[in-house]
Amino acid sequence: MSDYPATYNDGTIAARRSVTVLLDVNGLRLVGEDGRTVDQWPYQDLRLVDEVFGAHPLRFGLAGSEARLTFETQGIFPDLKRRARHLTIERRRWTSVALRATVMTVAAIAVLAVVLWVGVPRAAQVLTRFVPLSWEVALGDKVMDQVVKHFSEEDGDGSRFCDAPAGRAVLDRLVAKLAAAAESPYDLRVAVLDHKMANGFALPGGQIVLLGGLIEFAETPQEVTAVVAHEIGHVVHRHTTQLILRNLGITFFFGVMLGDLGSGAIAVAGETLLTLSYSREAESEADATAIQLLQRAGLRADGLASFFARMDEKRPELPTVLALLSTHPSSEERAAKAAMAGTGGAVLTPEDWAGLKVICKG
Amino acid sequence: MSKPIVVPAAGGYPQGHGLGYDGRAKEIFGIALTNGLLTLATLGVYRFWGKTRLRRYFWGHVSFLGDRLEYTGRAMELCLGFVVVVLVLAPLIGASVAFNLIFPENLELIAAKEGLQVLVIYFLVYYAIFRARRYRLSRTQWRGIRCGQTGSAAKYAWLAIGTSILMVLTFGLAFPYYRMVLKRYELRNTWFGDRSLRFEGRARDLFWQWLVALVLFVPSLGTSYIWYQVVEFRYVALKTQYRSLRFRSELRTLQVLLIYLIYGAVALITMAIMAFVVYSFVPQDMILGTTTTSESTSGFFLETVSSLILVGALVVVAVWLNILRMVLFMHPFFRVVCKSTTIFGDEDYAAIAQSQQAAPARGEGLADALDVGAI
Repeated sequence: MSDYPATYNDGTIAARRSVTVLLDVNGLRLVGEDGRTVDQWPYQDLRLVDEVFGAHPLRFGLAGSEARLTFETQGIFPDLKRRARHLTIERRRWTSVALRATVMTVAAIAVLAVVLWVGVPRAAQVLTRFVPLSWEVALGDKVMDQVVKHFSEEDGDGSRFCDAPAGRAVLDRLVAKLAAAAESPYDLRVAVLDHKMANGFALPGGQIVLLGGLIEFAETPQEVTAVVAHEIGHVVHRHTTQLILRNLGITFFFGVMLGDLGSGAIAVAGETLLTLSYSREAESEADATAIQLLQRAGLRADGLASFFARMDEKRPELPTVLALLSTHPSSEERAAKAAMAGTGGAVLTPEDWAGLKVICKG
Repeated sequence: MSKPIVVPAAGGYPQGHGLGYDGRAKEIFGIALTNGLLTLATLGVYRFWGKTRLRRYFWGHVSFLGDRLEYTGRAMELCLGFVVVVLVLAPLIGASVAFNLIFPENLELIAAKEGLQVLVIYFLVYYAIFRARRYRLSRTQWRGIRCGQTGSAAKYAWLAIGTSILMVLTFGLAFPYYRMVLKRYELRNTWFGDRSLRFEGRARDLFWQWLVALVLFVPSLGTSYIWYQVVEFRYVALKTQYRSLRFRSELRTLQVLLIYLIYGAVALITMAIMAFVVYSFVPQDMILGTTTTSESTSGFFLETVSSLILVGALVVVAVWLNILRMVLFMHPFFRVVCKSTTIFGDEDYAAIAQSQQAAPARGEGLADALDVGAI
């Protein structure tokens, strides 16, 4: 058995003391220059302080103490390793690094998935209930300004609202009928914007925007009615408000959670995917509500399926992988739902339908 | 280990000892690269562990009188500190957004709130800096004796706000005053063992240097500011005392400038290469943000792939810049600062005792969230 020179700090004063270290049966024995035992360190309480690179000195600590023992050379290590098996200065092996990384990655992805797909949407749903209607209405007005601005910029010549008196009256009657069925707390307002795109959307606070192209694209009055009912579905479920809250939550989560490491970049990718997948669920919910509304109002519900099916035809069908990313439920899904809706009364008289068709031509 | 310089006692000066630093770029690169990859793979979670590992490395390669510094912080402490801050910040941000929703029409009120918000963020940044400093010091040891920091982070933040306002009112002339007020508060509240540092620096000693730096800022392309910082650093070292120990720094502007230049040049080259890669693979309208809604499936597919390349490139650049920052900035910085620092005095180190102050349990979450942590 040999002894090793070392320096010792006792953890109570900043003095440095030369000691000789002996390997006893149960631990290290530190002997001072005067030959007296300074301290005894049990093997199982030994800790390596530093990550050891190359010919780095070895510095040991003692569990539960701030005392330190430093060896300028690593000569003691082979002897010590046999007695204190938990100590190691070998570089962590590649496999163990890979294993740890894999475990951490899986855990991180699981936490992330739960937070983003369950936590944040649920939180947004709950929080939405606490948003007063007046805020939503105020927010809706703001968004409406944005929408009008957006479409006028796209058109170049400035968009206008379609207000041909005959068409407007028909639309108002239709909305009143659906609103009565919806028993919505909102004052439902449907505006038609003169724009060639066939689309419609719900804003917070009970406002609905239809684009002129949608009324042109519709082949039957049932189709327009179904779209309005679908958007009312979004309104009563407060989907837009939920969406805004949820996107705020996700932006916050990504921005803060991921720190400075390209959080912006990841946020862009993550947000896009999540926005889409959420809308899908919301769309199905809005469909279900639309069918309910139409039934309650005693109107035919077959327009829903036919309208969206024709919309899909216009757009090429997406490959299966990309369908996951698609905003809208598949047309088969919709047709199946609408088929259960049975039949109701006619929606509009031919004269009314003709009037509605030219609402943008006034 | 490299031999620290020993300055012999002469002309009434006590003996001086240099600080040693023997970190190696190769080892730091290895750690930084592993950190970058693991942080990427774990979607950011690993960064607390990575940061802790790097600090352990840097601290463990700084030595004085043959004994190395030690960083005793645990990654879990950083992680917990971060979680707590997220829980505190989230309702604040929520309240701010709700405010805009409640008073969408009242522009004066919103403007007032935004103003207050700027003040709050300014306050939080300095609060975070002080708290982060407290955590780092409480986890720093030499010869088994802890450093520490007393004082109040709120007071520090108010000092910073007050002197910043003064700085604005004097068109920047009060900058040395702002610096010295904060340095005084930092240093006088800095402890090693059972004693704190003393600091006697005064802003007026730095006023003319600052004026020169200010005047030359534009013609010198900003390098006069670096010169001022180096001058200030040397001055602060000179005016700091711990027990009988005095500090002297012989840091030179050129050393620091060189670090900035090399790091800046390599970082720029990296970004240029990445920009070229993105430019070659991603359609131009994607980069310019004028993308139109795709009419066909292949267009949609192309768009997805392109945005993935774009995002991937941004992430790779972020990771790479972080590695460069450690190897080409932090590492040489540690080296020049240590090698140019001498500590004078014949101190009885046996008289320096461990402090009984409590150390904070969690670390620097706020600094992490606000991105003001140094390394």
